[in-house]
Amino acid sequence: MLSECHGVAGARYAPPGSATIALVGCPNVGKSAVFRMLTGIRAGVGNYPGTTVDVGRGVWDLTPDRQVGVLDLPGTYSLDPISPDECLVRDLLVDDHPDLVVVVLDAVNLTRSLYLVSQLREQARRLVVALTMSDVVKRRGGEVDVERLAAAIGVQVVRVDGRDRQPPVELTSAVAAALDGAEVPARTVAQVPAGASADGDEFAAAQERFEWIAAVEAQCVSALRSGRTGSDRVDRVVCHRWLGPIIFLAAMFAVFWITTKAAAPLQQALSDFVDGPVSGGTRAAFGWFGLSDNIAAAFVVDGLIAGVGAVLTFVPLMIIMFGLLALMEDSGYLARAAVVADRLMRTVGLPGRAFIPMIVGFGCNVPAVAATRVIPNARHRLLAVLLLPFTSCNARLVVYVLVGTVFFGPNAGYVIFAMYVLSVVLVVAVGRLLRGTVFRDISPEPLLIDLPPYHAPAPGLVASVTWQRLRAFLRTATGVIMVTSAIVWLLSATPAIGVRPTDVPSGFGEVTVASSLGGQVSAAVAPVFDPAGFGSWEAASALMTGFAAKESVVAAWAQTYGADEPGDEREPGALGAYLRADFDASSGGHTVAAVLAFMVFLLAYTPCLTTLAAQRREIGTRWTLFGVGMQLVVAWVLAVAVFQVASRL
Amino acid sequence: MTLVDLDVGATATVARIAGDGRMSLRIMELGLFPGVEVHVLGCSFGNLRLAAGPTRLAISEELAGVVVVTEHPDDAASSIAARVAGGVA
Repeated sequence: MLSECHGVAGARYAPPGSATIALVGCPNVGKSAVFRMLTGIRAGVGNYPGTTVDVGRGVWDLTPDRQVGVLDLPGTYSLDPISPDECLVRDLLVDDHPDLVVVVLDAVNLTRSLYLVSQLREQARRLVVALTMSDVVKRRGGEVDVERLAAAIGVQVVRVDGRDRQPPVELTSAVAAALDGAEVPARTVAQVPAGASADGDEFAAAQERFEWIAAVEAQCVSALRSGRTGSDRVDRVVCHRWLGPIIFLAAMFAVFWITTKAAAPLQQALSDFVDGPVSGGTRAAFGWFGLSDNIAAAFVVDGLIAGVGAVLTFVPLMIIMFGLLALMEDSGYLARAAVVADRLMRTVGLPGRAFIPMIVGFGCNVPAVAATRVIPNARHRLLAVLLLPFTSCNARLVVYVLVGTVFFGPNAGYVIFAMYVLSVVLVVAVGRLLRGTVFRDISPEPLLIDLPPYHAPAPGLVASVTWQRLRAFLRTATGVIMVTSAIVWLLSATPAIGVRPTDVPSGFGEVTVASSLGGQVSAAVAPVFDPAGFGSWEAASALMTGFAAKESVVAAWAQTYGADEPGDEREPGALGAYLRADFDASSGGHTVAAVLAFMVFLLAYTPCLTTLAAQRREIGTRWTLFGVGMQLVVAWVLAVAVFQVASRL
Repeated sequence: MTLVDLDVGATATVARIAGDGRMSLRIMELGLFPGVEVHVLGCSFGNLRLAAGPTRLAISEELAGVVVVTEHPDDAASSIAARVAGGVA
């Protein structure tokens, strides 16, 4: 299993036959910093084969001519797992037996960290301990005698500082010596070996381990100053019953605002770059061979490049969002946010941490799906990913503003606000429906969370985590987007001869929307929307285009009617007149009801292609397709209900 | 008594974990094991914030209810006084 860990995005692998080191430790001990110190940029993060668990994999130059593979395993408090991440750690350590295990211990929280060591010592294995946070212990008036600690636990112990760029010589020597030496014999300190089946008295075993730990600490640890810390004083405000939610909402709004507003000019610049120099340059290149008007040029430029461009425009969003989340996580605030939001998210059966991707989703669903990685439990994460597309993203807002202005004039703002309220209602309602059906197995997860001390985020670590997550996303999304964009282009470029006698059939790639295969498909689909009052092929075509990107709905309408796309959706121009006529005709005079139904359908139906690609990466194809089906059903039922009720008022 | 019965600011010693199952074991593994001194830092949103040595935890009231504690005498006296002053028997 250890040697089969391939497919981790961006990872470099040690030569075959090299030793593999597993890096383990409790959460928040500085393990990721140590991993980065050992492997540098030659590392990647991705799902462990056959699982949805994130594992880091890299190469460490132990000596100039000796490389070892390093696995950065998820943080775990013990080898008795309660999550898929911890199950993987247990399986790898107990069943697969890596060549060496480096346990990262937090000198401040030594008791808790040593619990994992006590379990690891119950099997014969090669072990080295890397001790972090020694500087914090010293600042708080304590001291850990490293030599006595090593003697007491029977394992080499080395002080490390995760802020260093290179591992200390002592660690390199200790690891090399351990790899070349014999395994440390097992020490049974509890009646029930770690990782064994749950038949034994686990509590008695845990108690015995703590007694062993107490004996170890008595030999080598001088007590830290007790009393309230700076973090405690900050928590009195951050976790206050009134101030806490205000601070939390302000932090979430900041994430939302920065992710969308700060990224917008960068996204526009990238879009202009792809549409301008890249597309233009490619067409020119085809022109050198006399192929600028050829179908191949159109396919490459309007299909593939447009598709890749769609993914690239999300890069600024993802960088900013990943970076902000990494900042919040490394600073220690994310744990407090989970405490504050816990009660609210439990109404939909999710833990407090799920509030963060939900908030991000109101800006853009794509980074929001990726942000669900802050949720440790895989089933909760799955539920969150399925609910996220019901959050009304900025792309939908573009359409709301246009439609609201055309049909509701000065009341447009109220209607748009109602869409956001409905979005929240949908998340809660669908969440409860799923909890009562498909996710009945999810047990409410009572809050039990470690609150790490606040500290200034390490820029290098934040940048490293951000880059690794972005790289993994791009690797997955690009392929799906390119294929789907090509299909969408083909549909719009292929003529549908004989369907519309008034249209002059044109050559491949030169057809109007009405006479394209895509238009023909839209016309075939349109009757589905008759009960919702917008059963015209133009509306169906716009919604199908919105499947690729929600903001394309306006452009699709403009193309359909041959009108100019409005530079500002608040000034629809001629497009507004076409839309009014279209909805008047399809709704049988119940225009407002049909427009409301259309807006509701737009809110609830499938997310854009890039969101689907992000979902597929997180939850797999089967669940992504389930989500698509679920959203289409919910959207259609709601739209029909809205029209049928509103048209009778 | 259990953690849920402690006032904010109270200090107690963990006597035992009353529940069974993985979550109860995890409570111990996170630092609330028998013999450790625990201090209640705050309570909001149905969750307690605790200090157990250098460890800081947030725990829901339902989980806190399985941690049986022995309140420190000084804190017990002040708790009783507060309850009496509040008219609670």
